[in-house]
Amino acid sequence: MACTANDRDAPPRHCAWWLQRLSRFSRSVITRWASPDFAGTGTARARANLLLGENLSLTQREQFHECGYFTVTGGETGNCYRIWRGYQMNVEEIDKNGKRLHVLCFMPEGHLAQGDVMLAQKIALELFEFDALKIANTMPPHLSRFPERHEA
Amino acid sequence: MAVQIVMDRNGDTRHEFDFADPKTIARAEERFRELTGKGFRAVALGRDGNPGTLLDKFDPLVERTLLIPQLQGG
Repeated sequence: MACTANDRDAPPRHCAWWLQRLSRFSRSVITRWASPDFAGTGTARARANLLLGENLSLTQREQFHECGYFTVTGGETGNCYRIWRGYQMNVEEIDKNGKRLHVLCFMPEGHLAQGDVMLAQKIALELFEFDALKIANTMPPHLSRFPERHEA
Repeated sequence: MAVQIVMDRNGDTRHEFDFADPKTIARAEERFRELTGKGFRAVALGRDGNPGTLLDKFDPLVERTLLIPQLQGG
C-alpha cells in the first residue's frame, strides 16, 4: 500500500498500522532468538524437525529440501497453500500456477520450535482449514518476505 | 503400544501407553481431556504424510495422537 502526497505531513493511519505490525513482528523475532530453545543446536529444534520430516509425504520432503517450502491442499476448500521454512508470515495461499494470492499469519501458541510450528500449520490447513483461516491474519501478497514462485 | 505426542518447548514430549493396560489408558485419557480442555487439537496422525483425522474424543486404539496447542494469529 503506497502513501500518497497527502500523507507527507502526518503519518496516515494505515502507515501507522503497518509500522505497529512491523514493530510487533520484530519484537517477537527477537524474543524467539533470545530463547535458549532457538539457539540452533537445541534438541527442541532437532526433535521438531524430525517430527515434521516424519509427517511430510515424500514429495513434500523433497520439495522442502530443494526449495525451502512445501505445498499443502486445504482439507475444506481444496485451495493450495505454500508453507515456507519459518515461524510466522510463512504461509501463502497460491493459485493453480503457484502465484501468491495472500500471506497468512497464524501459528500455535507457546514458543515452539520451527518444525513444530510448520507441522501445526500443515495439519491445521489439512484438517481444520476454516478455523485456521478465521484465526489467521491475512496480508496482501507483496508483503511476503519470500521469493515469488511460479509453476512452469 | 500407542503414543501421545504433545508439542511443547522441548520440541515434543511423548507419552506411551499400552492398549492392554487399563491404568495407562486411563492416564492417557485424562491427559487427552486436560489438554483438549486447554484448547489443544488432537489429531490421529496419518501415514506417509497423508492428512490424519481430527479427534474430538479419546480413542485408545489410535496408534499416534498428536496434540497441537491452540492456534493464534500473528
